[in-house]
Parts: sequence; structure tokens; C-alpha cells
Amino acid sequence: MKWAVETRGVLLINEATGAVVTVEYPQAAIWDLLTRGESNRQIARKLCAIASLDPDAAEALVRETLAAWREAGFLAREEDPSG
Amino acid sequence: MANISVTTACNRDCSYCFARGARRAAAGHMSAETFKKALDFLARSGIEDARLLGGEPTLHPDFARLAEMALGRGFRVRVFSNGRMPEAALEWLENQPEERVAVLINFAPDDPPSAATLRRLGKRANLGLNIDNPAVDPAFLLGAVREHGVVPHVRLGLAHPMAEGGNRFLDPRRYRAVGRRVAHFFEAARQAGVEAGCDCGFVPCMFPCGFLEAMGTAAGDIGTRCSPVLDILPDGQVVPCYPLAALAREPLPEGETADALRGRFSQRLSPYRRLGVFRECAVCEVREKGGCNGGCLAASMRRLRTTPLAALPCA
Repeated sequence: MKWAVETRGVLLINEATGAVVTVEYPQAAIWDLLTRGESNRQIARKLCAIASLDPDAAEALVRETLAAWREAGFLAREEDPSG
Repeated sequence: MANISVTTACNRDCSYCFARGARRAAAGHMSAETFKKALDFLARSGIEDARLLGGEPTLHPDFARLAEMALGRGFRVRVFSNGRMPEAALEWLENQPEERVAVLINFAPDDPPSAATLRRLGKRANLGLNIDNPAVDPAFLLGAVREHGVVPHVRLGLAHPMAEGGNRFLDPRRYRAVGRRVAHFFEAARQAGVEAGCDCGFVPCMFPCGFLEAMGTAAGDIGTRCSPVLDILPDGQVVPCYPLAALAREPLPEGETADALRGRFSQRLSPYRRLGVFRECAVCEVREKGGCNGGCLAASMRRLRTTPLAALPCA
């Protein structure tokens, strides 16, 4: 899994599948915080400030974004013990 | 275009050498049999030049024999040398017709080829320079052209990184400083009656405003030259280019052309093509209009960060 910071977000490259996705902000911030080892709850809390979201909206955004990335293969699925 | 790396042997140790990864992986001299297969590959691909690289290609113990084999098959021979060549190779080269054999000498400012070598090669020799930092001023090449009577054409290259790391390279953050020097050099070359050209990896945004427009057609394909050139290694493996040697390689294909192999390499490297050497490349209008492809792919890949999936706390 490789990624690069771009002007408007991050570019994710799944080398195993060749899939490439451009992720803009605020979702790009989720990726950045994930790679820093932050938990979903911590990310949602920071998103409230970063993207001016209320706590429920921030949690929903994190949940939906992670689900989309799992679907696209950029994150391991939850049932995967290695993930 | 495709290059044949006939040997990994070299008598210099340039810290910026982007061939060192490929040279480590395929150490040795190319056999006559593999060289013949490489020529077959060029011939069926419609390529007219046999471009011999190394290492230092003239250190191949059968250098003259291989070059004669290429000439005998109707190829023009182009030798990419550092200028420090054995006497036997130099003697062979200086006796070849200028229209059939050319030697591109990559000039190291701190260790230049001897004046006698350049004089003996005369109009068979072109000078080139790899720029690895903005302090390098190519202006001295104009003096060398004048002094030694070599071809009045100079080629500038950038010291690219190997995708896997391990060599000193020109950091893209210093491209603009290099671009100012190169623009100044092009103007001085024009006034001196010397034609100057750029190798792959140069991007339009590194040059001062108006420079490329003023250059017109002489600017050539600056910005759009990064594509698999194909380097055939001494062991018969083919890589897209030296800097990308760690990412893709295939044996010399039987019965296939260079375009087919290039297509496969391009496909394999396509996920990385969205990158550019700068993060701003993602929103660049020149790139969007096809005026630039984002520069050297290996340099772009140095921006990549790696995160193992297992390290992501996605529960």
C-alpha cells in the first residue's frame, strides 16, 4: 500500500491490484490520521475541528469513508485477523 | 529507441549513477549470443541505432567485435561512454566513419576525459553532462566543444533517482534553480553556435517564464519524455529504464517488438503515472492539457509513503 500527499488531498495506490484513488479533504485527513495510528474515535474528534462537523456527522464520515476504502481494497476488512 | 547495456563494468564511481541497481542485478559482460538476440530485437522493432551503454561499454573485452557485428547488420552505432576508454577501443572508434559511429561522452567536470581522447574522436564525439545539483554550470562544455573540435551538440541530463533509492540524485525541489542555469546555458550555446538538447525528466515549470516559448521547436519534447526507453541488460533481461529497473523486468522477448514490451511495462507502471514529481502536479493545467507528464517517474515515486495494511487501525 503506497500513498502520496498531493495539493488537494492524498493519492492512494494499491500495488497489489493496481487500483488508484485520489482522496480529497476532509477524507484525506482521515487517511493521514489513520497512518499516524489514531483510533476511529480520535479521528472523528479531530474531524470536528478540521472540517467543522458536529460529532455525529464526523463519526458517520469516518465510518462511511473506512467502509468505502475497505470495499476498494485500500484497507483490510474488519474480519481479516491481519487487519 | 532501446539501449543495449553490454557490460556492468565501469571505471568511474559516480555517486549519482542511476544504473548501479541494474548493474548489481545483472553483473558481467554481455555474451555475443545475447548481443545477437538484442540486435534481432532492435531489427524487428524497426530501430536503426544500436545504442551501447554500460557501465562503461568500451570495457567489454569484445567491444569492437560487438560494435562491428552491429555495423555489419546495418545499424548505426552510438556509444555512451565516460571517455575513459581502453586504447584498443579508442583506436577502433577513431577509425570508424563519422556517419556510422558516434560516441556520446558523459563529461564529469571533476574527472574529464583526456584532451587527446576528444581530439582523436573528433566529429564522432558529442558531449553530455548529468546535472546532480544546481551548482553545476554546464557552460564549460562550450569551451570543450570549441577546444577539441567535437560535434557542436551538447546534451544535458538530470541525475535521476533509482526508484528503490541508493544513489545521489537531483531533488525536484532544486529543479527550478537548475532550470535557470539551463536556460542561461541554452542562450550561451545558441550564441556559440552549439545546439543544446535535454534528456528525459525535464519539466516545463522548472524553466523561467517564457523560456520554452522562446525556444520554439528547439524545446523539443521537454515535459513529455518519460516513457519506457528499454534498457537491455548484459544477462538478456530488459528493464523500462535504469531508474525503474527494480520495478519491472522481462527476458528479451522472442518474436516480439519493442512497442509490445513497452506497452506491458507502461501497463505495469500505470498506477504510478498519476503521481508527478511535485504534489502540485495533481492540479497542474499544463499537465492536464498534455504539455507535461509529471516528470521522471522514478523521481515521482520517491514521494510515495508506505503504510502496511496491517499497521492501519481500521477496526
